[in-house]
Amino acid sequence: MSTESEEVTTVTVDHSPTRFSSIAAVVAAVIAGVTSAPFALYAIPLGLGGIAVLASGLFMGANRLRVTMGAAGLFLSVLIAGLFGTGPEILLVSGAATVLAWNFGQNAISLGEQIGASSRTRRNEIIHASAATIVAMVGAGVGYGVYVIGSGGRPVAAVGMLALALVFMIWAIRA
Amino acid sequence: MDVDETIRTGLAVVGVVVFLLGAATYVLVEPFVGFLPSTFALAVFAGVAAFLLGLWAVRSAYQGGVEQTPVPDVELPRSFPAPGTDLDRTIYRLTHLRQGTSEYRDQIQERLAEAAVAAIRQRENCTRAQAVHQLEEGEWTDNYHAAAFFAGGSPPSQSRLDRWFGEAETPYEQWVDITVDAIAEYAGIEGATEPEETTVDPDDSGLLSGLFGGDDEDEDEGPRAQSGYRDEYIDEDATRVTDSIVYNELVETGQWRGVSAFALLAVGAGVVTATPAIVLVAVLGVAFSAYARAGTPPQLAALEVDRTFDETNVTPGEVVEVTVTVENTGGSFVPDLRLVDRVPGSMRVVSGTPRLATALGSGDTATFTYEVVAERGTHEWPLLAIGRDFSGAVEREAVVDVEGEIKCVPSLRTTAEMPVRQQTSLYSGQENTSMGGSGLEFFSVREYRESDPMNRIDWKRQARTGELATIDFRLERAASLVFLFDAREASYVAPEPGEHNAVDRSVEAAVEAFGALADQGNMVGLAAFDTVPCWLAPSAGDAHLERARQLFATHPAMSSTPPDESEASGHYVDPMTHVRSQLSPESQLVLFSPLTDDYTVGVARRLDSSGHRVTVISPDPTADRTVGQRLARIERNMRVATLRERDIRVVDWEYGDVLGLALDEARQRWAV
Repeated sequence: MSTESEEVTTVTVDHSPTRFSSIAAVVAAVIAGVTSAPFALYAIPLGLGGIAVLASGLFMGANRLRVTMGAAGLFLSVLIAGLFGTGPEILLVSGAATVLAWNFGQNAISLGEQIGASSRTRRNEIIHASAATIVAMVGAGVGYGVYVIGSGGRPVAAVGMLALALVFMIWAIRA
Repeated sequence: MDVDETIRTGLAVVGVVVFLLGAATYVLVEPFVGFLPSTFALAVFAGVAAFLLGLWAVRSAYQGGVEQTPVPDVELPRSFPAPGTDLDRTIYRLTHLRQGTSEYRDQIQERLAEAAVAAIRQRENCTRAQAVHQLEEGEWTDNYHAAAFFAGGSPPSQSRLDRWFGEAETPYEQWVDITVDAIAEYAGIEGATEPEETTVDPDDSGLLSGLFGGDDEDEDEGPRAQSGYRDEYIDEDATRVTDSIVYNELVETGQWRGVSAFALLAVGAGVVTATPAIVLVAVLGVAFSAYARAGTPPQLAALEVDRTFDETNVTPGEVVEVTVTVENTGGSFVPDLRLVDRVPGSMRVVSGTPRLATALGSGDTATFTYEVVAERGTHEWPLLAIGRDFSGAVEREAVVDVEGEIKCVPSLRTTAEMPVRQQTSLYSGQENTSMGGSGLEFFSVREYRESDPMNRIDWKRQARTGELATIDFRLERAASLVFLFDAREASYVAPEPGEHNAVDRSVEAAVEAFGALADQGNMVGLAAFDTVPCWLAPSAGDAHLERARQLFATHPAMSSTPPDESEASGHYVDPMTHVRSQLSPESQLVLFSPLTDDYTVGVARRLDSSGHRVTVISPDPTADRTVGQRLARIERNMRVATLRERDIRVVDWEYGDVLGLALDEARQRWAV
């Protein structure tokens, strides 16, 4: 009979995004916004808006679309910052932070849906976040190395060919 | 898929060739610049192409979305519908989805008419034909609209104001509503006419998701245990990798979908505006695309799961602590592992969580602990392990069967004293009969017959008158009872989501009454219909009590979850043939049923007319939140009345009440 069981209440299940990844996502978004802002005033509204939308998608009800829109805003602010002549180093940091913010946010929502915010998820999140960060660092490092070595007055034909190759490659490995 | 792979390989090859050409031009300028087009046209073309492809990638990412294995809320108990949900569903289909207009209308009208006729017959005490006549003439109610419902009228017109102020109900719904309320009023059922409760959004009560069987529109609003509860955790195309582990099909999560758009747009923007720094940013996109593509599905076959309980033999309502330990005995690192323990539907988690997200290296273990409230039955359940690769692009769900079961057997109590009817067996016991014989209570004095025992001769009378007379005492006999459970699919109902269903309540009641009856020396047996045959002949003794206890806990016919469709079909057990063939003629029956349809009424009546006294103990599962539920309540009340007319005793047991109280009330009524 349920006389004893009436006293113990069922746990509530919290499917909001997990905290660690959410905070990491917002931190990354702030880094992206701050690094893209200083050299281009036009990038500021997009950057700030991106941060706000992304944060709202995590802390005010889980919403993948808002996280993606926020990241897209940050990405546009990075492009604008690039157009206004921000240096490649800062641009790389900004770009990497944008992608990471997007991915951490996605992971927070995914973990929230499957596991929930009230369960232990820390180890999983840390490993996911560090792996993605390492990939960003390695990618940025290799790219920057090639950029530094290869810069200089080179024929347009070569640049064109390389750009075309890049497009082919990206399309071939697109996720 | 194959075409896509071919295109990708082709593009990769073309890309490599172009890259080599470009790189060669970069290093050895002379021989190439001559024949390659040296205008900006090529670069701009690449940029524009990249930009357009980027937009295309954004579009496909937007359309693709993110997929992942849905996980139900295993913490919450499984919910059962309240009776009457089928009518709500029909009305919803009719008014909101506009399906099968005329046939659904006919169906609804027929059901309402059936209830109304029953109510009229009950109140006017007339024949069915007279009741039908009254109904058609509309004489039964003052309510114009309700009367018109059966007399071929039209729905009440809605004032424009109502429509503007967001009246969610269509006129037809209102009409049905008014009519049901009128019938309830006519039948004298209180608590069914609150106008506030008439507006019920079907989405609120999980009706929508119930409608679609949770197949596509199963959005994650609200508790998922209610609708998306999967009985089957294993897909059709799952593969069994080891004895205990089954892999479901790989899921491509698409979590990185769109990162190539990032790269392409960056290339496009950078090349077109001649800003090399922006092109450089594309490197990140390339890196993450490669990262996502490089993922290999995680190996979960080497997971070793161990589940322990702080106690394995418990009684219902006890809190059990469950500890799950998962070890990765394989050689590979599982970077993203999500574990969800599939707590059985009848149990609920009261502390801790049965979930964990972690990463397991080779030889690592992870442990989580939670507490559940044990419910009747033998429980053994699997663990869901969802593994992902580093990037999270591929996801694999494995269902791991875990050994170790928990057995929860109710103890038979003596708390509820069940009134026994006047039908007894040949064995002596404690039930009073209307026969004289040897016993305790004085019954009658009669003329002496030869072979009457000497100690019962009325010597005082003999001394006074000289005549021999014999005193008869009230003969006390044991009753032979069979508890018959209505465990059909229709009985798995509960007034509120998350409450125990009516079958559970029935068994709880039976457990309470069983001990007391047995203590009084009665013989009690068990039977159930109609999926799996279940029969325990009435008997007495400790061994019999123990058998009954085990049966309550483990017999599939009385399980706290309804039988699977496949199990049920073709296993139909007609209670008439199955129970009656084994029932001894002096047995009386206690029928446990929520009386949600006429079938059980028929069973009770047929058993009654074949000479068995029947007592129906009916937990009342009806609610009054929707029209359908209110109609179900009316119908059930009519059934109770019909049975009582037939001299079948019915204990109408309110859901929240203690059984003892309901029995006391019933006893008082019967005593009159």
